[in-house]
Amino acid sequence: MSKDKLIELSNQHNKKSNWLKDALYRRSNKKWLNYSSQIARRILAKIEDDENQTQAELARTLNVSAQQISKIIKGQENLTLETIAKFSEALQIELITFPDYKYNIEINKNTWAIPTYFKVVSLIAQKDNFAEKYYYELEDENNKSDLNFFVIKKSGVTTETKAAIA
Amino acid sequence: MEIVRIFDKKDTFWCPCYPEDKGDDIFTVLLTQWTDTQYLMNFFKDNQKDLQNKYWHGINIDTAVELVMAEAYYLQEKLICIEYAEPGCINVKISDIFKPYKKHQYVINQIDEDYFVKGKLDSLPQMLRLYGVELSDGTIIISGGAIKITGGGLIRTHLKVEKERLYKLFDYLSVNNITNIEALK
Repeated sequence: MSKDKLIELSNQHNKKSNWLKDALYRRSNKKWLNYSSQIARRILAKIEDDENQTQAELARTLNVSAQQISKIIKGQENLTLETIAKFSEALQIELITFPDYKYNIEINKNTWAIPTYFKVVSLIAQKDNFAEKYYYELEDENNKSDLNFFVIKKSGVTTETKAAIA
Repeated sequence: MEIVRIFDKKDTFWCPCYPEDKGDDIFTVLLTQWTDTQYLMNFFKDNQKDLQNKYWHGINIDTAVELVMAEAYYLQEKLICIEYAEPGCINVKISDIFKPYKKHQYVINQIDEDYFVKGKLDSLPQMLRLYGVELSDGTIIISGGAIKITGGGLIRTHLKVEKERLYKLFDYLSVNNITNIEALK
Protein backbone atom coordinates (compact mmCIF):
# COMPACT_ATOMS: atom_id res chain seq x y z
CA MET A 1 0.00 0.00 0.00
CA SER A 2 2.69 2.48 1.02
CA LYS A 3 4.89 1.19 -1.77
CA ASP A 4 2.09 1.81 -4.26
CA LYS A 5 1.81 5.34 -2.95
CA LEU A 6 5.57 5.87 -3.36
CA ILE A 7 5.38 4.60 -6.94
CA GLU A 8 2.45 6.91 -7.62
CA LEU A 9 4.36 9.88 -6.19
CA SER A 10 7.48 9.11 -8.24
CA ASN A 11 5.39 8.80 -11.40
CA GLN A 12 4.31 12.41 -11.00
CA HIS A 13 7.71 13.57 -12.25
CA ASN A 14 10.38 12.24 -14.62
CA LYS A 15 13.33 12.32 -12.27
CA LYS A 16 15.61 9.32 -11.97
CA SER A 17 18.49 8.66 -9.64
CA ASN A 18 21.91 8.91 -11.31
CA TRP A 19 23.85 7.11 -8.61
CA LEU A 20 24.14 3.86 -10.56
CA LYS A 21 25.73 5.37 -13.66
CA ASP A 22 28.26 7.23 -11.49
CA ALA A 23 28.89 4.20 -9.28
CA LEU A 24 29.55 1.91 -12.25
CA TYR A 25 32.05 4.46 -13.59
CA ARG A 26 33.81 4.60 -10.22
CA ARG A 27 33.83 0.82 -9.98
CA SER A 28 35.39 0.41 -13.46
CA ASN A 29 38.03 3.07 -12.81
CA LYS A 30 38.68 2.53 -9.11
CA LYS A 31 42.45 2.05 -9.35
CA TRP A 32 43.35 5.18 -11.28
CA LEU A 33 40.73 7.23 -9.42
CA ASN A 34 42.63 6.33 -6.26
CA TYR A 35 45.90 7.52 -7.83
CA SER A 36 44.15 10.68 -8.96
CA SER A 37 42.86 11.32 -5.43
CA GLN A 38 46.35 10.82 -3.96
CA ILE A 39 47.76 13.39 -6.40
CA ALA A 40 44.86 15.81 -5.77
CA ARG A 41 45.49 15.75 -2.02
CA ARG A 42 49.12 16.70 -2.54
CA ILE A 43 48.25 19.48 -4.99
CA LEU A 44 45.66 20.89 -2.56
CA ALA A 45 48.12 20.82 0.34
CA LYS A 46 50.82 22.53 -1.72
CA ILE A 47 48.46 25.28 -2.90
CA GLU A 48 47.38 25.78 0.72
CA ASP A 49 50.99 26.10 1.92
CA ASP A 50 52.16 28.44 -0.82
CA GLU A 51 50.70 31.90 -0.31
CA ASN A 52 51.64 32.90 -3.87
CA GLN A 53 49.81 29.95 -5.38
CA THR A 54 46.10 29.77 -6.15
CA GLN A 55 44.05 27.48 -8.34
CA ALA A 56 43.59 30.34 -10.81
CA GLU A 57 47.32 31.04 -10.86
CA LEU A 58 48.05 27.37 -11.40
CA ALA A 59 45.58 27.23 -14.28
CA ARG A 60 47.34 30.21 -15.87
CA THR A 61 50.82 28.72 -15.41
CA LEU A 62 49.79 25.40 -16.91
CA ASN A 63 47.63 26.96 -19.60
CA VAL A 64 44.60 24.89 -18.67
CA SER A 65 41.05 25.90 -17.80
CA ALA A 66 39.80 26.55 -14.28
CA GLN A 67 37.31 23.71 -14.87
CA GLN A 68 40.14 21.28 -15.54
CA ILE A 69 41.95 22.33 -12.36
CA SER A 70 38.69 21.87 -10.47
CA LYS A 71 38.27 18.34 -11.83
CA ILE A 72 41.88 17.47 -11.00
CA ILE A 73 41.63 18.57 -7.37
CA LYS A 74 38.43 16.60 -6.96
CA GLY A 75 40.58 13.55 -7.78
CA GLN A 76 38.48 12.66 -10.78
CA GLU A 77 40.82 13.31 -13.69
CA ASN A 78 42.70 10.58 -15.51
CA LEU A 79 46.01 12.41 -15.57
CA THR A 80 48.68 11.66 -18.12
CA LEU A 81 52.30 11.40 -17.04
CA GLU A 82 52.92 14.60 -19.00
CA THR A 83 50.26 16.46 -16.98
CA ILE A 84 51.60 15.10 -13.70
CA ALA A 85 55.09 16.24 -14.68
CA LYS A 86 53.82 19.74 -15.53
CA PHE A 87 52.06 20.03 -12.17
CA SER A 88 55.14 18.74 -10.45
CA GLU A 89 57.33 21.39 -12.07
CA ALA A 90 54.84 24.20 -11.51
CA LEU A 91 54.39 23.34 -7.83
CA GLN A 92 57.98 22.23 -7.29
CA ILE A 93 57.02 19.00 -5.58
CA GLU A 94 57.14 15.34 -6.50
CA LEU A 95 53.61 14.02 -7.00
CA ILE A 96 54.50 10.41 -7.58
CA THR A 97 57.28 8.26 -6.19
CA PHE A 98 58.49 4.83 -7.16
CA PRO A 99 58.90 1.89 -4.81
CA ASP A 100 62.18 0.10 -4.39
CA TYR A 101 62.55 -3.01 -6.46
CA LYS A 102 64.97 -5.83 -6.42
CA TYR A 103 67.61 -4.24 -8.69
CA ASN A 104 67.89 -0.93 -6.83
CA ILE A 105 68.19 -2.26 -3.31
CA GLU A 106 71.70 -1.95 -2.08
CA ILE A 107 72.66 -4.00 0.91
CA ASN A 108 74.39 -1.63 3.26
CA LYS A 109 76.70 -3.81 5.22
CA ASN A 110 77.22 -1.29 8.01
CA THR A 111 73.54 -0.56 8.60
CA TRP A 112 72.36 -4.09 8.34
CA ALA A 113 75.46 -5.64 9.85
CA ILE A 114 75.71 -8.42 7.37
CA PRO A 115 79.06 -10.07 7.91
CA THR A 116 81.36 -9.65 4.94
CA TYR A 117 81.75 -13.37 4.46
CA PHE A 118 78.10 -13.67 3.43
CA LYS A 119 77.12 -13.66 -0.20
CA VAL A 120 73.55 -12.83 -1.34
CA VAL A 121 72.28 -15.78 -3.31
CA SER A 122 68.63 -14.77 -3.83
CA LEU A 123 66.04 -12.15 -2.99
CA ILE A 124 62.32 -12.58 -2.56
CA ALA A 125 60.22 -9.40 -2.27
CA GLN A 126 56.78 -9.56 -0.73
CA LYS A 127 54.26 -6.83 -0.13
CA ASP A 128 51.35 -6.71 2.25
CA ASN A 129 49.00 -3.87 3.23
CA PHE A 130 51.49 -1.75 5.08
CA ALA A 131 54.97 -3.05 4.53
CA GLU A 132 57.32 -4.41 1.98
CA LYS A 133 59.42 -7.31 3.13
CA TYR A 134 62.55 -8.49 1.47
CA TYR A 135 63.90 -11.89 2.28
CA TYR A 136 67.55 -12.24 1.42
CA GLU A 137 68.95 -15.67 1.33
CA LEU A 138 72.58 -15.47 2.24
CA GLU A 139 75.25 -18.04 1.84
CA ASP A 140 77.91 -18.43 4.47
CA GLU A 141 80.88 -19.37 2.34
CA ASN A 142 83.22 -20.13 5.20
CA ASN A 143 80.78 -21.67 7.66
CA LYS A 144 81.52 -18.92 10.19
CA SER A 145 77.93 -18.46 11.33
CA ASP A 146 74.54 -20.13 11.53
CA LEU A 147 72.91 -17.00 10.06
CA ASN A 148 71.31 -17.80 6.76
CA PHE A 149 68.88 -15.02 5.90
CA PHE A 150 67.77 -11.56 6.80
CA VAL A 151 64.26 -10.09 6.84
CA ILE A 152 64.02 -6.41 6.05
CA LYS A 153 60.76 -4.65 6.80
CA LYS A 154 60.05 -1.30 5.26
CA SER A 155 57.21 0.79 6.64
CA GLY A 156 57.14 4.46 5.77
CA VAL A 157 60.60 5.82 6.43
CA THR A 158 61.47 3.20 9.04
CA THR A 159 63.68 0.38 8.05
CA GLU A 160 64.07 -2.54 10.40
CA THR A 161 66.31 -5.50 10.02
CA LYS A 162 65.99 -8.80 11.70
CA ALA A 163 68.26 -11.73 11.55
CA ALA A 164 66.96 -15.22 11.55
CA ILE A 165 69.06 -18.01 12.90
CA ALA A 166 68.92 -21.34 11.19
CA MET B 1 10.07 17.58 -2.28
CA GLU B 2 10.05 14.87 -4.95
CA ILE B 3 10.74 11.24 -4.24
CA VAL B 4 12.78 8.95 -6.52
CA ARG B 5 13.46 5.24 -6.67
CA ILE B 6 17.17 4.54 -6.05
CA PHE B 7 17.18 1.08 -7.61
CA ASP B 8 16.06 0.80 -11.22
CA LYS B 9 14.38 -2.55 -10.84
CA LYS B 10 13.27 -2.65 -7.22
CA ASP B 11 10.89 -0.54 -5.15
CA THR B 12 12.65 -1.02 -1.82
CA PHE B 13 15.01 1.96 -1.59
CA TRP B 14 13.95 5.59 -2.08
CA CYS B 15 15.19 9.10 -1.48
CA PRO B 16 14.12 12.69 -2.13
CA CYS B 17 15.41 15.32 -4.55
CA TYR B 18 15.96 18.61 -2.78
CA PRO B 19 15.61 21.86 -4.73
CA GLU B 20 19.12 22.98 -3.70
CA ASP B 21 20.68 19.94 -5.39
CA LYS B 22 19.62 21.14 -8.86
CA GLY B 23 17.88 18.02 -10.06
CA ASP B 24 20.07 15.36 -8.48
CA ASP B 25 18.63 13.12 -5.79
CA ILE B 26 20.22 13.21 -2.36
CA PHE B 27 21.70 9.72 -2.61
CA THR B 28 23.59 10.60 -5.81
CA VAL B 29 24.75 13.83 -4.17
CA LEU B 30 26.02 11.98 -1.09
CA LEU B 31 27.98 9.36 -3.02
CA THR B 32 29.49 12.14 -5.17
CA GLN B 33 30.58 14.08 -2.09
CA TRP B 34 31.96 11.02 -0.34
CA THR B 35 34.21 10.25 -3.33
CA ASP B 36 35.25 13.87 -4.00
CA THR B 37 38.79 14.47 -2.75
CA GLN B 38 38.47 18.24 -2.48
CA TYR B 39 35.15 18.04 -0.63
CA LEU B 40 36.56 15.55 1.86
CA MET B 41 39.81 17.49 2.41
CA ASN B 42 37.82 20.65 3.13
CA PHE B 43 35.41 18.78 5.40
CA PHE B 44 38.17 17.28 7.52
CA LYS B 45 40.15 20.53 7.65
CA ASP B 46 37.01 22.25 8.96
CA ASN B 47 36.43 19.49 11.50
CA GLN B 48 40.02 18.52 12.24
CA LYS B 49 39.66 18.89 16.00
CA ASP B 50 37.00 16.17 16.02
CA LEU B 51 39.58 13.69 14.70
CA GLN B 52 41.54 14.21 17.91
CA ASN B 53 38.89 12.57 20.07
CA LYS B 54 39.38 9.10 21.50
CA TYR B 55 37.32 7.36 18.81
CA TRP B 56 39.77 8.16 16.04
CA HIS B 57 43.10 7.46 17.73
CA GLY B 58 44.56 10.67 16.31
CA ILE B 59 44.27 9.71 12.66
CA ASN B 60 45.33 12.38 10.19
CA ILE B 61 43.24 14.06 7.51
CA ASP B 62 44.67 11.90 4.73
CA THR B 63 43.66 8.69 6.51
CA ALA B 64 40.21 10.10 7.28
CA VAL B 65 39.73 10.89 3.58
CA GLU B 66 40.72 7.33 2.70
CA LEU B 67 38.34 5.90 5.29
CA VAL B 68 35.35 7.78 3.94
CA MET B 69 36.18 6.88 0.35
CA ALA B 70 36.68 3.23 1.22
CA GLU B 71 33.34 3.14 3.03
CA ALA B 72 31.56 4.89 0.14
CA TYR B 73 33.07 2.47 -2.39
CA TYR B 74 32.02 -0.43 -0.20
CA LEU B 75 28.45 0.88 -0.03
CA GLN B 76 28.15 1.45 -3.78
CA GLU B 77 29.61 -2.01 -4.42
CA LYS B 78 26.97 -3.64 -2.22
CA LEU B 79 24.18 -1.72 -3.92
CA ILE B 80 25.42 -2.51 -7.45
CA CYS B 81 25.55 -6.14 -6.37
CA ILE B 82 21.87 -6.00 -5.34
CA GLU B 83 20.77 -3.99 -8.38
CA TYR B 84 22.21 -6.50 -10.82
CA ALA B 85 21.58 -9.55 -8.62
CA GLU B 86 25.26 -10.40 -8.87
CA PRO B 87 26.59 -13.58 -7.26
CA GLY B 88 26.16 -13.42 -3.52
CA CYS B 89 23.38 -10.83 -3.71
CA ILE B 90 20.49 -12.66 -5.38
CA ASN B 91 18.36 -12.84 -2.25
CA VAL B 92 19.87 -9.89 -0.42
CA LYS B 93 17.40 -7.20 0.64
CA ILE B 94 18.18 -3.53 1.15
CA SER B 95 17.44 -3.94 4.84
CA ASP B 96 20.29 -6.48 4.96
CA ILE B 97 22.76 -3.83 3.79
CA PHE B 98 22.00 -1.30 6.49
CA LYS B 99 21.72 -1.78 10.18
CA PRO B 100 19.88 0.64 12.44
CA TYR B 101 22.53 2.48 14.43
CA LYS B 102 20.44 4.88 16.42
CA LYS B 103 16.90 6.10 15.89
CA HIS B 104 16.57 6.84 12.16
CA GLN B 105 20.31 6.46 11.62
CA TYR B 106 21.74 3.65 9.53
CA VAL B 107 25.26 2.40 8.98
CA ILE B 108 26.49 -0.17 6.49
CA ASN B 109 26.08 -3.67 7.82
CA GLN B 110 28.88 -6.24 8.02
CA ILE B 111 31.76 -4.34 6.51
CA ASP B 112 34.34 -6.78 5.23
CA GLU B 113 38.02 -6.65 6.07
CA ASP B 114 38.94 -5.10 2.73
CA TYR B 115 37.28 -1.87 3.83
CA PHE B 116 39.90 -1.20 6.45
CA VAL B 117 42.77 1.00 5.44
CA LYS B 118 46.33 -0.27 5.61
CA GLY B 119 45.34 -3.17 7.83
CA LYS B 120 45.66 -1.25 11.06
CA LEU B 121 42.43 0.66 11.49
CA ASP B 122 40.10 -2.19 12.27
CA SER B 123 39.24 -0.72 15.65
CA LEU B 124 37.81 2.49 14.20
CA PRO B 125 34.07 3.08 14.00
CA GLN B 126 32.33 3.75 10.70
CA MET B 127 32.15 7.38 9.57
CA LEU B 128 29.19 7.40 7.24
CA ARG B 129 25.60 7.71 8.38
CA LEU B 130 22.41 7.57 6.37
CA TYR B 131 19.32 9.10 7.91
CA GLY B 132 15.86 7.90 7.06
CA VAL B 133 12.98 5.64 7.88
CA GLU B 134 12.17 2.01 7.38
CA LEU B 135 8.61 1.04 6.52
CA SER B 136 7.02 -2.07 7.97
CA ASP B 137 7.59 -3.98 4.69
CA GLY B 138 11.38 -3.35 4.82
CA THR B 139 11.36 -0.42 2.36
CA ILE B 140 13.94 2.20 3.29
CA ILE B 141 13.50 5.89 2.49
CA ILE B 142 16.53 7.99 3.26
CA SER B 143 16.35 11.71 3.92
CA GLY B 144 20.09 12.35 3.77
CA GLY B 145 23.45 11.33 5.13
CA ALA B 146 26.55 12.69 6.79
CA ILE B 147 30.09 12.05 7.86
CA LYS B 148 29.75 11.59 11.60
CA ILE B 149 32.99 12.02 13.50
CA THR B 150 31.76 13.56 16.72
CA GLY B 151 31.13 11.38 19.71
CA GLY B 152 28.02 11.19 21.84
CA GLY B 153 25.49 13.97 21.48
CA LEU B 154 27.78 16.53 19.88
CA ILE B 155 25.92 18.05 16.96
CA ARG B 156 27.71 20.01 14.27
CA THR B 157 26.01 22.28 11.74
CA HIS B 158 25.93 19.68 8.97
CA LEU B 159 24.18 17.25 11.32
CA LYS B 160 21.51 19.83 12.20
CA VAL B 161 20.70 20.05 8.49
CA GLU B 162 20.18 16.29 8.44
CA LYS B 163 17.81 16.46 11.38
CA GLU B 164 15.73 19.08 9.59
CA ARG B 165 15.64 16.95 6.44
CA LEU B 166 14.48 13.95 8.41
CA TYR B 167 11.56 15.95 9.84
CA LYS B 168 10.70 17.17 6.34
CA LEU B 169 10.59 13.56 5.19
CA PHE B 170 8.26 12.65 8.08
CA ASP B 171 5.95 15.50 7.04
CA TYR B 172 6.05 14.46 3.39
CA LEU B 173 5.19 10.84 4.18
CA SER B 174 2.49 11.85 6.60
CA VAL B 175 0.84 14.24 4.11
CA ASN B 176 0.81 11.38 1.60
CA ASN B 177 -0.68 8.92 4.08
CA ILE B 178 2.41 6.76 4.33
CA THR B 179 2.28 5.95 7.98
CA ASN B 180 3.60 2.42 8.43
CA ILE B 181 6.96 3.70 9.62
CA GLU B 182 8.69 1.08 11.74
CA ALA B 183 10.40 3.35 14.22
CA LEU B 184 7.23 5.28 14.98
CA LYS B 185 5.28 2.20 16.01
